[in-house]
Amino acid sequence: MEETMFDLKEAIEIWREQAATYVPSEALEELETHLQDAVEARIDEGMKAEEAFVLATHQLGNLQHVGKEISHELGQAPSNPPRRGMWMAAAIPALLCVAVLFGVACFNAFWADRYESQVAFEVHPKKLGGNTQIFDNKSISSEQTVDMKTQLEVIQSRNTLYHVVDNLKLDEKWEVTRVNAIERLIDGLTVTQRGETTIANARFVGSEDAQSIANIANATAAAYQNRMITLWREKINNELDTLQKQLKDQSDKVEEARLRMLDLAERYRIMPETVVLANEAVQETVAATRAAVLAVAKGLGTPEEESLRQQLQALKDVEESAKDDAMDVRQKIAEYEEAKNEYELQTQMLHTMQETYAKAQIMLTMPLVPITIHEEAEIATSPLEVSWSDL
Amino acid sequence: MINKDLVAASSRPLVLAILAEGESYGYAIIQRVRELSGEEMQWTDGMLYPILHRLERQELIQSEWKKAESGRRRKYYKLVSAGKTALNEEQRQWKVVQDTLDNLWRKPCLT
Repeated sequence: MEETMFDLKEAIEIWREQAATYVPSEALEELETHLQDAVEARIDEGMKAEEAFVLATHQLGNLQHVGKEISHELGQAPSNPPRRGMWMAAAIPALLCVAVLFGVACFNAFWADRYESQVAFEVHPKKLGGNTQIFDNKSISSEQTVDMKTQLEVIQSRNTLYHVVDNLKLDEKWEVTRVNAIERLIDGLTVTQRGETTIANARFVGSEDAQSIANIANATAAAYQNRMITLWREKINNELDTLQKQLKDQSDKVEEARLRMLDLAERYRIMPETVVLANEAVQETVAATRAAVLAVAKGLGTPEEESLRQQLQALKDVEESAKDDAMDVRQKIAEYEEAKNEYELQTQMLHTMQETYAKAQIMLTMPLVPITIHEEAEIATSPLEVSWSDL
Repeated sequence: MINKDLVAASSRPLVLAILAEGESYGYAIIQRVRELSGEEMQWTDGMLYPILHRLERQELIQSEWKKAESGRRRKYYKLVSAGKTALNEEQRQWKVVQDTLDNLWRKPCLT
């Protein structure tokens, strides 16, 4: 872009057009003379005309405010109705220094005193139920690492700032729409990470009074805090829903295990003494077989030998059969024991889940403070110095 | 830097007292305040004019357009007799405030 020379005369003309929007004509010349004096004094001190002009207009203060006070004293309206002055300024042709136009336009925003206030707060949410370990293996507590960048964006998001506007009724106070009030907050708000910590600094600069600025900074932290609380509540509620489904499934499993256990008990006629009886039966047959062996030994060579052998064989068969029975009983018992263990295990799991569910329900009724506010915003004691670089 | 409330509260006696030194105009009044306060008291320049207009409306000062040597037209203000009375009353009141504070601040520190 082509550089144009700064023309002080033109700049002051534009300024006068703008000032006429707010200042009664009777007082306008006086203010203009003042501005000329102030610019000249600065130029005499060695300042460039452009810089002298910008600083002098700044020192003159918020024209809207000054004009209002003067009109009040004089009981007069501004010399130009609003808007016309602005259009005139825009219509002044090419010779004009672009920087001046920019400077003048900027000054509408910077004329009033500006204050800053900042608040510092924890972004890393405390592990939910960190001490109680409610959801030990999944979901809520799994969010161990916080993406600072995302959180910083959340803090200055329209969604968060909407609540600041809403809580402080900034739209009514500023007499603008909510959307515009949010935009104004976005303009004044800077959110940064404090070093490598999980602490965020929210700094608000604006041309309201120091108290309002501090309120806005604090409200921003509070809005973020509330948002986190809402988020946690949503998560807990989701978790409760999931848990409820799981609880139902688990109850079904328990019932299934119980039925299987009872079914086995009935089918196998399992009683506490079942195993003992089976073992006794085996021992009896073993004893009978031994006796039969002795009888065969005694009856060797006698006519009864063959019959004794046959008896022995029969008893051996009985023993074998008793042993088989005992084996079968042991297997059935093992099967039953397994079913019983399964039932106990599933019941235990059900109880744990019920406990978790109850704790989560209690948690919803407790006040949640997932983030800590470290430093509340203080009311600034003096306005910000406007430096050349700010312009 | 003196805080804004104090600056605002003292603006009326300051303007009256400076004009008691002789007639003057807006820019010069502000320079005088700055100089006398060692730059501790800084006004937003524009806010002097509502004060001047008010004092004129209250008939404590009078204004007159004059041409300076530079050829620039300036509005000069001068104190009239009602203004001198008002200044005396301001002086009395500020003296009371000052003495009251002095009494407190000169007490030996007991704590």
